[in-house]
Amino acid sequence: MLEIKDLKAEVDGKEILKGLNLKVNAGEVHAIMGPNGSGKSSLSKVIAGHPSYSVTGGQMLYDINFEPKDISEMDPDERAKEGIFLAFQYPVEVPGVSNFNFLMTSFNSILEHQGSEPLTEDEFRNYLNKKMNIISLRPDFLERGVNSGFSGGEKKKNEILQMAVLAPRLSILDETDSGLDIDALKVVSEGVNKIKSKNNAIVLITHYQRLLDYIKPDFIHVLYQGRIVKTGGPELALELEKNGYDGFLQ
Amino acid sequence: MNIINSFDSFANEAQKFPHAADWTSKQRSKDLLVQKGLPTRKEESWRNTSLKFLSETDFKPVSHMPTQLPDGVLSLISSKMIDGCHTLVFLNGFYMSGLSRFDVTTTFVSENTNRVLVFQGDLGSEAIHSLNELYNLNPIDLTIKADLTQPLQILNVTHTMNAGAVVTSPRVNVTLKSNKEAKIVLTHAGENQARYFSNGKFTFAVEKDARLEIVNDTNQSANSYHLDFVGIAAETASTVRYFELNLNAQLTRHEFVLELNGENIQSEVLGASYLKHNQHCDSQTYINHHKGSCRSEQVYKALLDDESRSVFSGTVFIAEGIAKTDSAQLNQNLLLSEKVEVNSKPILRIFSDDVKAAHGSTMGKIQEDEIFYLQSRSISREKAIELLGQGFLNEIVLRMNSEVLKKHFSKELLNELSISRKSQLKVVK
Repeated sequence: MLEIKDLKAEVDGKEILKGLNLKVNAGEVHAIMGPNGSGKSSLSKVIAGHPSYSVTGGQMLYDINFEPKDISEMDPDERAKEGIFLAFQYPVEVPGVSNFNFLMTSFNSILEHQGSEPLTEDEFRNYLNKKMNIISLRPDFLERGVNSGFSGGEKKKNEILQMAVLAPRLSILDETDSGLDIDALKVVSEGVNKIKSKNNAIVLITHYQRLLDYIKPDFIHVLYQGRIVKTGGPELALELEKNGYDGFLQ
Repeated sequence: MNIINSFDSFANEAQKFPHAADWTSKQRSKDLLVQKGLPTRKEESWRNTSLKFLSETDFKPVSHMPTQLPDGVLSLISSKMIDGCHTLVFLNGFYMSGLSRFDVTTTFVSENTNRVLVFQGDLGSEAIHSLNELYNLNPIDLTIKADLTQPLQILNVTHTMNAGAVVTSPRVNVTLKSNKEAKIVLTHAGENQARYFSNGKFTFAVEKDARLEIVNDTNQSANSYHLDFVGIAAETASTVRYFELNLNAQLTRHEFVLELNGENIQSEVLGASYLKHNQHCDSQTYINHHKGSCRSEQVYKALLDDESRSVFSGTVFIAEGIAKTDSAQLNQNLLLSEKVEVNSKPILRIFSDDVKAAHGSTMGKIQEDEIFYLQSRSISREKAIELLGQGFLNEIVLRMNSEVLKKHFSKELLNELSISRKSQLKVVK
């Protein structure tokens, strides 16, 4: 589904990704771990197309209509319409626009892209109500401004609700566990597990092993200084937890 | 012929009809206008707004209503009525009882009683009041004696009646009786694309413990000029909430006066403007704290596109020897183009010590991170800007207490933004 080959990217003239390789297939869960400043969040932003980052080398091949296509030049919304989803570490607040309107605009943009008729308000409300259960949110949540005045936990839940509604093929969860208490972490993880299927892939970016107790990864990658320096199975996370990045990287 | 000189022929024509107008007062207003002239940019409060449009177009005052209304007038009026509201219709400044729909048991409408409200503070531009007096033939007094469960819409429609540019001068005085609650919408609208000048005057007496919410919605023809005066005299322990929405007109200027004449008054004065093309919008507010323990909060937001211009001047007066005044003022401007112009001026005149008075002004562009967030949710860059702009202004609309009005104006805002931004995209392509 996604194959990143020798990817190099920079922000403000500083090289952050220095030849990164990663292959993700449908049905897989990958976890990317690494110390602060290793380039984890940058990788997620580069895949989603953040305008501050420029790709200076390599390729990001993503399957569109069953053909691998380099997405480096595509706008962020074009990538999203093709099923790439980024759950933000710090979701942006959009006061004055209701969550409902935001989700409907977003969902209908994808339908239009696929050549389907957009849903009416009633149709979308029906569809949305089913998705609300995945993350156990109260209905009044939909009438509030997007992320506006939400607690840290509510923001993260909202990201997972968006993921459930938009049903992406490739989801990148950028430190979705940060700032969550144990109960919220459980709710969020259960939500992700319900969305997970053999047709979609999930990339978790995290500092901690804790999230991986709830969402079981197939692969773990260690990112260090802009490159993936080690790939392994779930046991790798335990090793990191035990020895720390310093011990591991020596 | 300029707008002042038109008076003599207007008076000759109007006196053929049974208007109960005070011609002595009108003549006095004319003399004053001739003597002092209209405001010019040399005056501080008119520094950023020019009235030269009044000498460029011959705006004809309307001396009477034709017996037969031309095609299009009725459909224009019904398209501007808000569902779920009582509506009083004014056409070219004349009250049209037959076209209005409202519940007479809760409201009392009378004509020509010329009630005078007590305003102690700054009253805005005298010449503009005189101009309204000159050409208004049908002042209306409303007394609201019971709680209004539905909002009351005062619909001011301007139609040229196929007779070229007109000036209309509606005048409405409202009294909200003690301990009563009402929501009132002033809708200013007109014939699409028509050139006209609307110069309304609206005053409100808010008695003790009464709760009034006003929406002043300017959504005129894109070729029109709109001036208005809104004056509110509030008494002890009343609540006043005023919303000013500016969505369309070539030039808009509001002079708003709030007189806090008793203690413990809670007031909010809020504005949301979406300006595009070369539109110009000037909001002058005067909030006068004459008594202590009152709160006034002002938030004016403007979203500016193309080559539009916004002026905000907010005067807060706090009288000598009054205690526990709490006043805050904020003017926020979001710029969508490099060519817009913003003039923002707080004027605090404080003569008392026991005062909390804050003010602030911001100008900025939409943040790239915000656009990226929406884009990452499949929303195009253009649509993202539209949604973020709507959200910025809608925060004001969402503060309305009435669900009917909240829904109506949120929708109106989004429509206006989406139509305007789409037409702009076509031009670029």
